[in-house]
Parts: sequence; structure tokens; C-alpha cells
Amino acid sequence: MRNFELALYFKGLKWIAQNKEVRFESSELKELDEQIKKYLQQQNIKGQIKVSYYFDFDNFPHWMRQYMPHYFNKQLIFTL
Amino acid sequence: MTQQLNKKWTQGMFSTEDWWSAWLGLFFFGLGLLSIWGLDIVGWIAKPKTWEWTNLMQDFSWHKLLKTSSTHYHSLHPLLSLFITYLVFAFLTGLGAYFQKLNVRKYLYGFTIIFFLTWLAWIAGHEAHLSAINAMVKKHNYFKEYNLSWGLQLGGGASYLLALIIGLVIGNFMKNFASKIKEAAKPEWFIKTGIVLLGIKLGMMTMKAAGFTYELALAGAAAAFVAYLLFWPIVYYIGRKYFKLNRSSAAVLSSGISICGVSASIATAGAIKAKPIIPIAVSSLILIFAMLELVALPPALTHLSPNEPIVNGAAMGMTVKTDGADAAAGAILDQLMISKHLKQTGEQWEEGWILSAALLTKIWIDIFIGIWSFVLAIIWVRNVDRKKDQEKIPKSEIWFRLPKFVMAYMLVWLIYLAIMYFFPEVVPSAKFGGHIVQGPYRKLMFMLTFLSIGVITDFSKLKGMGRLAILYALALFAIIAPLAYAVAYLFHHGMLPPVTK
Repeated sequence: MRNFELALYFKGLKWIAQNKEVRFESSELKELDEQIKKYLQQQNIKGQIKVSYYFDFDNFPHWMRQYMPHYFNKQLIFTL
Repeated sequence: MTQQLNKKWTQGMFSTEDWWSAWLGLFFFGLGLLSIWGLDIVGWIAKPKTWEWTNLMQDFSWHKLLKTSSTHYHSLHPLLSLFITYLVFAFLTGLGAYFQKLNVRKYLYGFTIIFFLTWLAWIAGHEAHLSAINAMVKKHNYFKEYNLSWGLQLGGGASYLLALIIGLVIGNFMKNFASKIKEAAKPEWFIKTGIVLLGIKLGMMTMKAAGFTYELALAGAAAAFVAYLLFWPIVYYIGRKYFKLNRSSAAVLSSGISICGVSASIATAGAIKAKPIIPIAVSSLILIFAMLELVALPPALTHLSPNEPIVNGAAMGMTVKTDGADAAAGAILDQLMISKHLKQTGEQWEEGWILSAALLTKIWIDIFIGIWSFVLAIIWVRNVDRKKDQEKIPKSEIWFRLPKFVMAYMLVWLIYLAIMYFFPEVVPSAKFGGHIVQGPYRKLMFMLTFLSIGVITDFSKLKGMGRLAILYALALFAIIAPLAYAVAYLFHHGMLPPVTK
């Protein structure tokens, strides 16, 4: 299974997922998932794919970190 | 742009307040434990003494206000002891600030001011007219010794209240000054470190009354579990039905109000993948209401239910949100109830049991939050987002949300239990260092919390919160507080702290 990793954060009114090569933006997480799937299809990647999102906690005000230093990570697993 | 991504299980071990409270607490605990081998390297810490102002004015001496914590260091001048205390705490917390990527210069500036204002409150709160109780306490009756004609008789609660008042004045009337020292106003970090040290107290309490301590811990777990099942759905239902909140806001607010405040609201929002603005808005609200609870509940419970100290403590743990405010409220309640009972009966309840009751329910809640968020995330993916075929919730989410200071607290307790069961011959020497670390060290962390929590509380932020604030107030005072008391009564009724001989 191939792993595709992205840092996730929220800016303005949009979710942004990015790594060193690519960046996706959308107001809804569901749409972001679809954009990523489409991108991977365009790259001609075949087989089972795991997309891992890691939320960047620097997105939160610094004072909130003392209460809980983690928001969420999520994984999408699908076959192309 | 810097990134803080939680990829590996070791992430955050040196960069989060939570982990640093575990490291600092365990470090002090380790130092205290060296007394088993006859080493006293903790006794230099300063602690305040009870004093009376006319007596002090007649013949001023720093020795009347402060002393070192153990006789091994009595040759130290009290001011030197205080200065060493400052240096050690500034260095260790400054080191933590460096690894947490805080602005160290700003942190040290703020910490210096917070530290000395804290000591000012601590010393002032020990003035006999404020603290002395007209009864024998540790072979002294300071009320009679100083020949007082009046006194508030607040015990140790006077210092806590003074620190809180100073902090609130800075946070609400000296906002420019507050912004300059805010880098070091870290109530959650300070209180979590204090809670780790309280694990020593729990260990000592277990040595003294093992059955009662286990009962307290188990009753706390049961009460917290029942409270969870009751509070969350009620607040969620009211939020959806009567306040027309959307699913995300109702879920985040329900966790914030009914579970453990800011950490629960962030964890829940993360579990349902809400936009971060929702927990940020809810968190500001929680902090302000936590302060109101901290100020109102300890005197109210002391007055309304003076004969149920453990019930009151447990109810506090389920009502007051955020660990900092809960521990602070528990500490005030502990002092107010002990003072009231002592005044009325001449019998002194042992310090720390009421506070421990407040903390044990809260700590179970803190542990459950990781599991609850994980379950909620699965429910949300399957039933709300309807993406069960593709989306997976990593099990590591439970670990990332598990409070690490709670693990340190439990570890400290377990080490004391191990000493008690396997090495009973070293118990007296272990207690020597333990008493100092869970006494002046732990109380200093609590005092720093009181001042810091005041500094970061700005009541003007309530403006514009609208229906969220109304729902919060309604849920808290009409539902959570009475239900928490009922649940606490069910599980803790009749439990009383041991009496000091």
C-alpha cells in the first residue's frame, strides 16, 4: 500500500492540505478528499493508497496548546 | 511557517506543556525520593510562616515571614532561601519554555513578576488576621498566641484568594501589563506539575488509609463515568432543540460544558473535524465561566453542605472546567471546609483529601476524554459524514489525546504504593523528602496557577458571545452543578477525611 502524507491546516475559510510537492484547498474536507483522489488518479498511481492527513497544531493560538496539543489526524484508504 | 504535526508517538515529548509538567513533576519527585538514602536536596525551598502585622512592625525580621522547609537548611537566611527558590524555578521552567519554543526572554521577564507577586500574596495571606483559626493547629493556636480580637479565619485559603484577586486585577484592569507578562502565565502547565506532585500526597494518604484512598479513587471513576453519560446528551439535546445550534457547535459546546472544558472542546472538535474556529470561540467562553465557578462554588458548597466534604470535592471535580480552575477550586474548598469544621468542632480534617476528591473525578474525566473522542470520531464518520468505507480513525488518536501529566501522577502514586508494600522499612525516610515536595513545592505551583489564571481571564470577552453564553450559563448552573452534586452524593455520601491528631 502506498502512503501519501499531507499536513493539514485551516486558513481564512478554507482547509488546506499540502506537502512539498502539492497543495489542495477547499472549504469542505470532503471536497479536499475528492481533489486528492483526482490528483492521484492523474498521476497514474494504481493499487491501494493510504492518504494520511496530519493537522498542524500551530494553526491554533499558542495559549490553547497547554490545554490539548492535538487536533486530529485522519486516514483515507482506497484503491485506484 | 513552523509545523507541529503529531506523526510519531514520541511527538511533543519536549515541546508541549503537558509533557513538561510530567518531566518537572517527576524531577522534583525524584529529588524528594533521595531522602531514602539520607540526602536532603529539597529542603532549601522557602515557605511562608504565620505572622501578625503589629508584632512585625514592632520588631521587623524576615525570619518572622519566611523559613526554609527543612531543618538541614535553617542556617540559610530566609531571603537567600527565597532567592534560591526563584533561581531554581526560573531556570527549570525557563528550560521548559525554551523547548516549548516560547520567547524565553519574555517568559523570564513575565515569570519573575508572576513569581514575586505570587510570593507577595502568599506571605500576605499568612497574616494572622486573615489565616489564623481559633483552634489548635499543629500544636499552635495563632489566634490566641497573637491575642487577636478579630480574624477572617480562612486558613491557607487566604493566600489562594489573594493571588487570584491580584491576577484578576491585572488581567482585567491592567491589560497592557497583562499582555507583557502573559508569556509566563501558564496556569495549566503550573497546575499539571502541581498535580503530579499531588501524586505523592495520594501515595502518603494510601500509606495512612489504603482502603479509603482506593474507595475514593474508584468512586471518583464511577461518578465521572455516570456524569459523562448524563451531561453530554442533555446539553447536546438542549443546544440542538432549543438553541438551534448546528451539530458541530452543539457537540463541541456539550463537551466543553459537560466534560473537561477547553481540552474536551478541542478533542471533540478534532474528533468530528469541526473548523478550528468553533473550539477557539468555545474555549474563550469556558475560561471565563471556569473563573466564575472557581470564585462562586467553593464558598457556596462550604455554606450549603458543610458536613459532606468529599461529596463537595467530587462535585467540584465534575462541575468546574479546566484542570487549573478545578484544582484551584478544590484547594480553596479544602481550606475553607477544614477551617469551618475546625472552628465549629475543634476537630481538624487532614489537608488534601477534599482536594484529592476534586482532582480524582477530574483526572478520570481527563483519561476518558481520549477514549470518548475516539468513539465519537467513529460515530461521526459512520453516521454523520457517512464515509465508513474509506476513512479510518488512527488508534494513535487516543494516545495523542491522553494527558501525559496524569500518567506521571499515577506513576508517582504507584511508586509510593510499591515502597509501602515492598520496602516498608524505608517509608519514614521516603516521607521526609515527599512531605517537602508535596508541601512547599506543590503549593508554590498551585499559587503560581492562581495568579496566572487571573492574569489570562478577561471578562470583557463575554461580550458578543450571545446565545452560546446563555446556553453555557443555563446548562452549568441549572443542570451540571445540581446533577454533579447528586452523582457525587450517590457515590461519596458519608465519606469523611481522616482527622489530624
